[in-house]
Amino acid sequence: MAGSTRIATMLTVLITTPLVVAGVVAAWPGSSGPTCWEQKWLNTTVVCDGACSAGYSVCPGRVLCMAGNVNKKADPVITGPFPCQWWTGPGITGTCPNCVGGSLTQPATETVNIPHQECVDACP
Amino acid sequence: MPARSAHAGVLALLTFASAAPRLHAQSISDAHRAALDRIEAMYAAVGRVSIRATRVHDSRTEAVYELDVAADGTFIELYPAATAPEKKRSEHAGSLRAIIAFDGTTLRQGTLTVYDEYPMADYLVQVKSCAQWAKCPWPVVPLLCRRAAAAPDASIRAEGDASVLESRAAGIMLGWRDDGAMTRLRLGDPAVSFLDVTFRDFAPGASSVPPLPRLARVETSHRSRDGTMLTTTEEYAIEHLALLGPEGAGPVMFDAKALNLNRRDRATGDVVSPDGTKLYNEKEVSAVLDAAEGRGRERPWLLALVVATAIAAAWAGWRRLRQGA
Repeated sequence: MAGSTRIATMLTVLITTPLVVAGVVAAWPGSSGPTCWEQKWLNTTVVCDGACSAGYSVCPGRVLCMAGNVNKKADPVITGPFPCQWWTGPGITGTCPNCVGGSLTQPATETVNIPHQECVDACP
Repeated sequence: MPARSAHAGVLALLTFASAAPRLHAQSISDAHRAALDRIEAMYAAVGRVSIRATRVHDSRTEAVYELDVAADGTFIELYPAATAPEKKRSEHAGSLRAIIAFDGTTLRQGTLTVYDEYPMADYLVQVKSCAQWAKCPWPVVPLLCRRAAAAPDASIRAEGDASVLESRAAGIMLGWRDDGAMTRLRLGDPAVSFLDVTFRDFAPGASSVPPLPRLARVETSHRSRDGTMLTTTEEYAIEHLALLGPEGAGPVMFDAKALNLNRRDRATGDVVSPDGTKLYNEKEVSAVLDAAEGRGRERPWLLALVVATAIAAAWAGWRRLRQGA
């Protein structure tokens, strides 16, 4: 009888301890984890040909779903074409590939084949 | 950047622009000079303006621009992400697709929530004219008038019921009616890259402010990589969000915290929040993921190696057993 009680107590401790620890960690301020995933462009480059004034594209090297410095690994990374941003019009300065300025123009004229994620449950 | 420095840079530009006409504007007659002074005075009353421009006659509604322009040429242009029905899964309502801003000393340009800084006190001089002004040039009209009139090739002519001020050297062409309504603005070099904007559907002006348009037809032309001229035409509904007048006409200052934007150090790859906290280093994040993806690709080979070793060991053991038997 005493033996079965001891086994039951040990089982209770073994089961409840991790749950309690997990609950405390989850409730601890600042450790609630990311709640809002944003698309981030990493290692962007400028794609241009000759004069910047003819327009230029800003293309990401990688696109990730991130919250702060945390990458959301649950969203799959797909390697494939991804649209760049096309900047054109007056107001562009610099020398290719350091073009700056202009106005964001739709639609994009350039795509890059890069690893990227779609934030499935992005910020509301 | 302290506001005083930004003011100083912009002030230097304005001083240059306002002093020069008296030196170079021999091609503008006294009568035209008086007309120009009147237009400058009317638009000086606008001070600073905030607008929302929405592309019309188009099922795609993602082209919304929010623009804040001050009389000194400082500006912020925001490109909001698509609104809920049209948004892609990777975007979200309320966020930005891109931003470009100039505060008199620094040009800032970014994608989504991260921007780069380009110290560029002479940006307005370098580019002569600025695409951001084209959709709502009212605060900048006095500056544009002074710049165009200062150029050696400045001229004013009548065109229908409008007066047209033009200088190819300054990259500016302005057209206005007698009541002061701005009917046309062309910025840039017609041979290379320019914006040609016509304005219509004018709302009656207030006592000191000229009639302002509710529609802008923007023709963007640039020479393509193969040398041909590419032109796109879009029409925008203009909604005036605020006219601050001369009293509130300070420069447009950039506030990263208010816009929830993080700065990227282009040299190091550090991405820093508005309060100075380093969020991540994009080069390090990429390196870690590259390595992880590399390991992922190696795994099938490792598994094959383990299986091959196990088969070889089993075969060797089986042979030894047979030899023993």
